[in-house]
Amino acid sequence: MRKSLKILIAGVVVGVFSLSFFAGASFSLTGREIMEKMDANPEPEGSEGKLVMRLISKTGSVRERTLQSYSKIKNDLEKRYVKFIKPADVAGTSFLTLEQPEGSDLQYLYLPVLHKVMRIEAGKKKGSFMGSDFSYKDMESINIDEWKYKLLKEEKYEGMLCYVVESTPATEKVKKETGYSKKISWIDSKNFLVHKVEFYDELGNLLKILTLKEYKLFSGKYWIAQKMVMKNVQTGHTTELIFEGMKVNVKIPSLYFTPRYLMRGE
Amino acid sequence: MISRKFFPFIFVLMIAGFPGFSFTFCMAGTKGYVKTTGYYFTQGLQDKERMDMEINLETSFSLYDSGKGFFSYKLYADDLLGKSSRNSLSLDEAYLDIYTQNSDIRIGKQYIFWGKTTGVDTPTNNINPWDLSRIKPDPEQQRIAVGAIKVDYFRGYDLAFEGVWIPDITFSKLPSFTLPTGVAIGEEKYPQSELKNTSYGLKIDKFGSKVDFSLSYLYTWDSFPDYNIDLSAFPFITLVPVHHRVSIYGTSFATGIGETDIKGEAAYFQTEDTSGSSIYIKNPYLKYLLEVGYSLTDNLDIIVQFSGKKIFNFKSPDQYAGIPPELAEQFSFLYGEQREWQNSLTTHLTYKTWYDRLKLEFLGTYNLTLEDYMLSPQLSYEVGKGFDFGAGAMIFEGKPGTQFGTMDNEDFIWCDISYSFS
Repeated sequence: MRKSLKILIAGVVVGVFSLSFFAGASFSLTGREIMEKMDANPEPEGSEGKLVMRLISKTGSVRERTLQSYSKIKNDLEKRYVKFIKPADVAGTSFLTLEQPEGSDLQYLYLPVLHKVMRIEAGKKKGSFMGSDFSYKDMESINIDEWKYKLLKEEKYEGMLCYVVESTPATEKVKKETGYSKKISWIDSKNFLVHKVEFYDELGNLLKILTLKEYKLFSGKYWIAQKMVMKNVQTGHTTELIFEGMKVNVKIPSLYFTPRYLMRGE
Repeated sequence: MISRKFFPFIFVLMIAGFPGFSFTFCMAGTKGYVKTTGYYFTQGLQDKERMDMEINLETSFSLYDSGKGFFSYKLYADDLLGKSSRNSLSLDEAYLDIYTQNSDIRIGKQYIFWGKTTGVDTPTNNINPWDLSRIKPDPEQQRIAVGAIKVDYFRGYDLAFEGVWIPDITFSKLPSFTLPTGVAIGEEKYPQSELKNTSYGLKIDKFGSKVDFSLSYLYTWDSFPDYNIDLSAFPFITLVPVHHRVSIYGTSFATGIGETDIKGEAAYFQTEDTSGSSIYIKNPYLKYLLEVGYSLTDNLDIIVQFSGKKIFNFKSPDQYAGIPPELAEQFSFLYGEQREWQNSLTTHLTYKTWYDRLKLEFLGTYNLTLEDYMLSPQLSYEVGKGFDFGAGAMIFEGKPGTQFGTMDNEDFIWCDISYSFS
């Protein structure tokens, strides 16, 4: 082979490998490692914002709820306070979730008509959150140790190169608590953000598809999706969660994440 | 003692006088609802049809981190079909919240609900009296707010001490009931409005742990009357309602085992008749309740409650010397002292579907001791744009002389339409 051709071939091979290196295509990453990178994305220590929840039926009719949401992370444990502002018949209902170091999160509910704070049944975690396509368990923070992971493939989604990772429950308890036999997540290879998740029911049929859109960078380091859409493919019902006026790393009083604050009915 | 009619004015003065009022006031909002309910009484004891309307309007304003003010009015038009006139406009709640670093203080007319189990007729929940003068499908709506000062002191985020002082002496409003021939109810006697006749209580609450629990003590008036006998019009007998003091020692807890919720309450009522020798005053008694909650499916929840009452120094009606047995039985019924031990089983099933748009509920209570029962199936549907529709029935069955047996002829079906606004 002529010397010039050999040099050309060698240059192309080196170039391809170099491109691969700089493009960040890590063929050696496992499903678990991808999820760890996703989980390692920094989260603000506190955030607040208004959340609009749109419940869209199969026929297109829309019910809308507006919530005020606060969240805080302390000692690696997340706390979340959510209060319904609209419509009038649910206004004042508020909900507190306290992540625990072990076991399920602690949850409290305040209903204005009951004039007292109720500890929520653990069994309700699989049930629908306020009539939406999200379950109470879906609203909890993700514990990556509750799942086993497998990298299925890499593919483009919405113009981004994504890892497609299958998650299966690590224990029967997780399967029973979530109601999912598996999840498939699309995680982009650049920022390790989740863009799409498919949820499969206990029989292995596709149940729901969650898409996370309009990621916005806060304070130069926190990527937060401003819109989440959960569609139940079995019923045709869709829930949209849209954040408005979100602020991060604001000083949110720890008081907000206590039954005391719920009892005020603020 | 301050008359209740002055509460709104006192409330306004307190707001106006609050430090920094003019600079920190913020109108939080106004909301309310209009609800029209139609009833059809299947047994025909009274007018077969009835329709009432309830309008609730509430306003709150925030004092930012310092507190908030709240008041709500209820307008009842009790008989839209025009057969009687029981319309009323009443102040439901009116209070001011003041927040300090470790305390929350609430002053005014308010609801104070104790206990960790589900429902409002639970052993330790005794501060707010009942309005049983109207039959309502929803017992949660039948409590009466009272004028009180409530102080919650917090040690950290999981321990709270609550003290309540209730200067407002309000008693339960009773339904009418059938008495033996020749017996009538006289005019109710109330204690004087004096400082020594006020009520007070203390509660300790622990939450945020594996088991949430509370301990409570309440010194108050029995909101349901005892009866003296007036023989001045003999042979006619007049039962005169009077009220006596009661001390209530209570406890409650809430926890979970696996996917099952377990809650419980118990309260000991120490009445003035500690020996049980007087037929005119209720004997001391213990009320208890154990609750188990479970989600049978994603949409179907069940709560089962085993509740009961133990009467101390129990006497059967024939053991009261000098009292005709028929009259003694009447006292046993009025005081809920027919048996030394009385236990009931309550089941509450809730099924939600169509993304919580439609809710089907079934509530049933069966008295295991006296074998009377109440059944209440109902549905509610979110129509949309603020409108909700509800319908259901209440069915009472039992032998004469039992709680639900005396209501045997008051079975009814109902439906309502409500509009909520803000």
